[in-house]
Order: sequence, then structure tokens, then C-alpha cells
Amino acid sequence: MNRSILIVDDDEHIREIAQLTLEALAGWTVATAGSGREGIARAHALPPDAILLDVQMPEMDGPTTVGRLKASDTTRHIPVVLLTAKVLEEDKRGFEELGIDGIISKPFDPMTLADQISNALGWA
Amino acid sequence: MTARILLAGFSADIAEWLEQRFAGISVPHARTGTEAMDALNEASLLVLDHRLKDPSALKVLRTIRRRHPSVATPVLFCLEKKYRKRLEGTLVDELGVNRLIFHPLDKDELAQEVAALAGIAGEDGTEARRERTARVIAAVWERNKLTIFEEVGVIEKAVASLSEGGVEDGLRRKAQAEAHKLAGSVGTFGFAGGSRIAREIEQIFKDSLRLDESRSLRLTELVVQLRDELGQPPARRPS
Repeated sequence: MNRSILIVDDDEHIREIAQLTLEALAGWTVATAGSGREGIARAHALPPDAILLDVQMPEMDGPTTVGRLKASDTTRHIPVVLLTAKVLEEDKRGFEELGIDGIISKPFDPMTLADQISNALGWA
Repeated sequence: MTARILLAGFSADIAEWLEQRFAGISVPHARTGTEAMDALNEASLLVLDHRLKDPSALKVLRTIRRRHPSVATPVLFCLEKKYRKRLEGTLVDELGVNRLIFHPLDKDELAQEVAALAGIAGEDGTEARRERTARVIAAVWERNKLTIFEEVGVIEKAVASLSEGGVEDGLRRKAQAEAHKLAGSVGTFGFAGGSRIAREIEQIFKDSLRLDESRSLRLTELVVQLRDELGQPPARRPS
């Protein structure tokens, strides 16, 4: 099934590799944003089926971005999967309290990224 | 048999993209009409760009049909939309073009038509897609590794300052940020060890109050290891 995903990450390498692999392996439609602010704007302009969101970004970090998305009627329904290099359980528990739908650890395996997102969102 | 798709016109990166899109095909690229005519032999499919020059795409087609009337190589033609009314009949009825697509080029549409005309649609299964994706990841690494080594360079600069007596806080924070980025990204390209090293570097820089001599030495070791690791070919299946 064709899905639309918005990838929000300040690291251009991550954006490129995630976009290419999700398009090539899963056939999803992928949009990207390089900051939380840009991601929110894109999500309002064209709400995707899900957002893959980096945690640590300059200016507006992932948790703040989630808060803004959940505060808006246009975007609060969009599932969010966090992409994080933080591995501590207490960090993960803190993220879950934000109302997110899943956490994927960095570095991720691009070959299974689509499966990881699908599993987190119950898309299998 | 390997499908050979002759791409005449367009840009060379389209040929590269098609090769990555389908497993086991070759896509020679002809920059001019003359090169296209010279390379036509054994092509499974000719993909012609209306913008081709020396000679033009139309001239190439007329020449092929005149000189090689028995050649049945299918032709996919990418036409400027504004010429559709004027040229569609000539291209399809007179010059035997099998399919027309239009500028601006939609790469997915191009791939779809190429697959159908060259009979390679069946090869685009899961394994082929995985193969293709692995090649794409390797190509992205090749394209990005210079900037990734620049990120390593920032860390090296901070480590050098540290071993010379102290690192300025702005540079330390920048090095920590670069190490964080590398920890998250290089494993994705197949350098799992690189991610682990970068994460340890990040942790050491984070604890700025404890940047003593022993940690400075450890950082020196780690940054050498990181450069060595990233100088190796990436693991084929990224981890």
C-alpha cells in the first residue's frame, strides 16, 4: 500500500538515505524537512500518513516539534516515530510520554527501516 | 541475458539511476546522435530524448529506419509537450516509436516504460529491489564521504587543541555535535564500528569538566580509529 512519510532530520545524509530506501524498498512517497520548524510547516501543508522525526536537532528539537504537532488540530492525528541515538531506557520512557507511536534507534538499518516503521505503526 | 538500454540524450545521471533501479541491466549513455547510432547494436531498447543534438533525435530515428529497416529495437521517445500535436503522428506511425513520454521527465514513469518495453518488469522483485537499494546506499556513501570526513576533521581539530593544552568551548561543542551526527549516520552506511567510536567520542566531549590528559589520549586514539574505520569499504549489508 502506498504510504506518505515525512522525514524530519537535520542530518542531510540521514534524510537522503532514509528517503531513497523507503522509496525504493517500500514504494512510499517521501517528503523531507531539515528542521522541526520546516517539518511542522510541511505537515500542515500536506499532512503525511506518518512522521519520522529526529530527536536532537538545533533550534527546535524533536520533543518540542512533537508538542507543536500535537497542539494543532491539523497535525495531532499524524503518528510520529522518533529517530534517536539516545539509548538509555529512561530517555526512551521520557519520549513515550510525549504521545509518540514508536522509537527507532540510530544508526538504523536502511534495509529494514520500512519494516520497523510499519511494525511501530501497525501497518504490517 | 542482460538487458542493454541505450539512453540517448538526457543527463548521464539518469543512466546511472536506471542501472541502480533495475538489477542486471546495463545503460550505456550516448551524449550525441552520432554516439547513439554508433552504439545501437545489441541494444534491447533505445530511449531517445527529443533534446538530443548532433544530429537531432528525429534525424537519428530516420537514419536508423532507412539504414537498418530490419532492426526491431523498440524505441521510447521523450518529447517536449508543446510538440505533441505536431510530431506524435510522425513519431508513432512513420518512425515506429513504441511509446511516448513527455518532458519534464518523470523518472518513475521512465522506469515503468523501460521495464515494460525491455521486458525486465519481472526482475524487479524483492531481491532485485534489495540489491538495487544496497547499490544506492553505496553510491550515497561515495557521494557523501567527503563531507563526512570533514566532520571527522572538526573532531580532529578539537582533539589536537586539547592535546596542545586546551580546547575552546565553542570548538568542543562543535566537535561533540559532529560526533553525535556521525554516531547516528555512519552505521547506517555500513560502519557499525564507526558509530560506536563516534558515540564514545561524543560522550567524552560531553563531559567537558573531565577532559584530562587520559581522556585527551583516549580521544586521540579514537579519532585515528574512526578515520581508519571510515577508510575501509562499508559492510555490504548496513548495520
